Amino acid sequence: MEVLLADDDELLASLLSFRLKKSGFKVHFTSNGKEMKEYMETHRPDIIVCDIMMPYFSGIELITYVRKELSLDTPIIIISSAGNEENVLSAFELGANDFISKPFSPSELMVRLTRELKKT
Amino acid sequence: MLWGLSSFFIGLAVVYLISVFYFRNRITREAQKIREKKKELSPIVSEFLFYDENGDKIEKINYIWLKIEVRELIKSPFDRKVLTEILMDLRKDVSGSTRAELFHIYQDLGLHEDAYKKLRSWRWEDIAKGIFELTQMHVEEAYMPITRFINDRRPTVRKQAEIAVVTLKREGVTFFLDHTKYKISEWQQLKLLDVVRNKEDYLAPPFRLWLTSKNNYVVLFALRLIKHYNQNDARTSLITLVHHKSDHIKREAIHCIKEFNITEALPVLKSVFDRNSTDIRMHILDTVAEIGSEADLPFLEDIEGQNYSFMVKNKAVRAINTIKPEAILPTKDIEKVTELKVPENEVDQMEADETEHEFQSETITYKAQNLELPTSQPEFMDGGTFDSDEVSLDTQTWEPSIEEIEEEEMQTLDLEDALELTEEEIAFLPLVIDSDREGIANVSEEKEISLNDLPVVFEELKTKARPIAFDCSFLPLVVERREQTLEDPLQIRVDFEEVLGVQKSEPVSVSSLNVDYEEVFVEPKAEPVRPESMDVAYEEIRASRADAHIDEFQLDLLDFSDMNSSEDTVGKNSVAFPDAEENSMEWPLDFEWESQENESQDAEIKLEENTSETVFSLEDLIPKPNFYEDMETMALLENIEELGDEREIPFLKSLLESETSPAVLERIGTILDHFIATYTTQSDVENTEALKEYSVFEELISKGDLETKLFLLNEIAEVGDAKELPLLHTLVSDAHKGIRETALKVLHRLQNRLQEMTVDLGVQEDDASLSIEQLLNQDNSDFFELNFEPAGTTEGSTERKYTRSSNTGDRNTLFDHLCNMSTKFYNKKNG
Repeated sequence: MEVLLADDDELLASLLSFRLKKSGFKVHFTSNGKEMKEYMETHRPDIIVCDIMMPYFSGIELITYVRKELSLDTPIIIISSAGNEENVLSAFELGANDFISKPFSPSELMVRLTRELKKT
Repeated sequence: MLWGLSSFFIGLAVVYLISVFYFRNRITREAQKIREKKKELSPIVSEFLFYDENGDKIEKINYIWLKIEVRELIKSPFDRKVLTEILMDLRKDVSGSTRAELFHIYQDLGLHEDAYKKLRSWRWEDIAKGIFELTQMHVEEAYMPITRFINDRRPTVRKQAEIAVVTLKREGVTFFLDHTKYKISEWQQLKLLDVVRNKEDYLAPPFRLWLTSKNNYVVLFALRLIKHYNQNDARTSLITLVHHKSDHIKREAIHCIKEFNITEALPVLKSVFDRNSTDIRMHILDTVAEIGSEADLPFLEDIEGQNYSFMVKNKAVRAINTIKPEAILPTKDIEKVTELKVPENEVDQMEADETEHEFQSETITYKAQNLELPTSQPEFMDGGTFDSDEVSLDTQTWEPSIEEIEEEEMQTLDLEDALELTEEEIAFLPLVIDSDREGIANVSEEKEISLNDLPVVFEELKTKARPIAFDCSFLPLVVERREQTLEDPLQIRVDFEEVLGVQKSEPVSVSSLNVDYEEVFVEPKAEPVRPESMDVAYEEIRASRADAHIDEFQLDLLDFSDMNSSEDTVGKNSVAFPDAEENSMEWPLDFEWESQENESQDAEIKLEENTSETVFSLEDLIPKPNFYEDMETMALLENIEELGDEREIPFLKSLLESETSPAVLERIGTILDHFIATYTTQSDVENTEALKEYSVFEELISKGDLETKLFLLNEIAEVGDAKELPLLHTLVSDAHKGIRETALKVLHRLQNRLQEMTVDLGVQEDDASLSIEQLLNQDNSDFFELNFEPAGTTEGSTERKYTRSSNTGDRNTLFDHLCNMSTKFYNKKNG
């Protein structure tokens, strides 16, 4: 299973990447929306975990890109900061599958991720 | 001179630019360095955070290595700083067990020592940073050192200490309220409240105890906490605090009174009203409006009439209307009805403009309601009727404002003389009369219905040639009073039911619970059933030659020696099954064994039934069954084949020697061949590793410095075993005298300890040397409850595995010691 992890916070991304790899996932990390778009042009990950606030393209824009332009049903889990509910709602409207707000437990993310993968 | 100044300023500018360039580069370089270091350290932190104690050996060794590596790294202050930053950053993003582990790592690596050092700094910003760090990383031990800053004269340090004290321990709030002498700013109170509010399982102390504090800020904060936690057990204190000199405290006390509905405070609130500022008066009025009753209306009306400020008067009016809705109606800038003249040439007035009629009816109702006010219109209320002379009916002019009515000194209005109206048409008039006669209570009931909410019945009106001067044909639009009364929500009959208060759930001691025990029937735990072990009801077992095909393997396992006494067999099996339940054996062998027993039993029964039907002898049709003992062994062998591995080889070999049955021997031979073929290569490699007697200390000592070596040698004395002996023998002849001497001491200590252990484990060894078969024969139920691993290739390894597996829950393993080893080393080093 390949996970595309998009987060501009390198520390958190490194932590999550380690956790995901430990659970047996293959992880590709991108630190901004531009890189993620470029990666999506050539690759099809099984699931996407992306932060809402990112340089170049926000998580919302990326969801639109995946759902509308690429017409992919790849599950998308968004990571948002607490109090960013408005963006979360927008993300859901655009086709995000799940969200998790910071601070979060990596174990919880794993559970959500597994659940989404099971659905597909 | 000019050139001199110019060159001076140019020089100054150049120096300035160079310094800016230099410092900017320096900052950028440093940031870059930090970023790179973070990248380097973050995987190590991740490794620590997600380290699994139950992981494999490689992971544990890797973890120990990382610990040692990190300890080397954090000798540098820069690395320590970066590592602290990483942990502080991650703290914001993670929660749950990961965050708890983060806090643990912070302290385990001794990073909190740096924060402690900061506390000893003479610079206030360093102290504040140190306190902040310790607070964020939840270093509870820092509570005591931080408490001494609670009354620090430097506000930043003090505020940080206040938050730390409240955060780190539950009793922190109590300590803070008891000890603080300084002002607590509003912002600080909010932050403290936020900290307290987010505490998990926090049991708030009775904050009324601090209402007597000499520090007014403590009293104020206590009041806010009382309000937040709904501690309504300080009524008298709250009422007393209304007399406080501080407006803040007064205001907060009034808020509490309002919140807790302390009606006995109303007289006090009224008495202090005049002595207070406008702001407090407003709060008092707000409270009176909230908790007051109609008995307080005179007080409020008095305020409205007196020379108080505009805001206070407004508030009083609002309070009146809150207690008695629509007691006072809007009066300012209400348009006069004269502006809504009806064109004379409009013939079909009613049909043409129904909206206008509505407005007129509203205007009349407004007026009627205005007239009912006892305070504002006493003269009119006395009259109780309209004066037709004063009200110009020709122009249909109705006075919307109370003031105007007063100015014109309205007299009684004889509507009956002026207009010939039916009783139905003037049905609205009794509203006025009733209110006058029956008092305020009835009026308020009627006024609670807004005009917009009145149910209106529109009736078709016939056109007239010319409207009369005062056209009251709209009057039937007003619904009868009786209907209105019915609509009054206050008069709706309500059936009250007893409401049982939901008590706050409190932790209940299990021992105090009254439990009715019922008999519990234990069912055997459902195990995954293999198809071949399933209890199958065989049908159509006929003794005919064509249908007599029965699986050879099954028949091999069946014991038909007691076929003639089928009832006994059933009885025997039915007794044996509960025994199996009692023993709670979850070993697949057990289940399959029972299943096969059942199978054989079913087959026996079927066959027994069939014997009566068939004319053929079964003995001619089926092979002669094996003996029961053989069947048991075969079942065991089958399980070994399926579940076992190379560790079963010695047991199989022993079986090969002891068994006599050719079928069993053949089966053992097959399984042995299979195991030997499958596992020989793998076990050879593992055996080589096992024989190598790998010591985890060997590599650590070889790479460590002198201090590390000495520390590790001491650890060997405590946690090492026989594997460490060769290493110690090597170190005894080390070039360094210190290592040599220490190794010698450790060697002696270890040898002594191993000897003692050997004596202690003497009995255990005897037990451990029992074979599986012996244990099975002993019918020891505990045998299967152990995390048993069958004997390995060497006896020594068997012993070790057995001991380890039985201590799964014990954390004092060699690896745990090793994990703590480096911590101890660090602590020793730092005194």
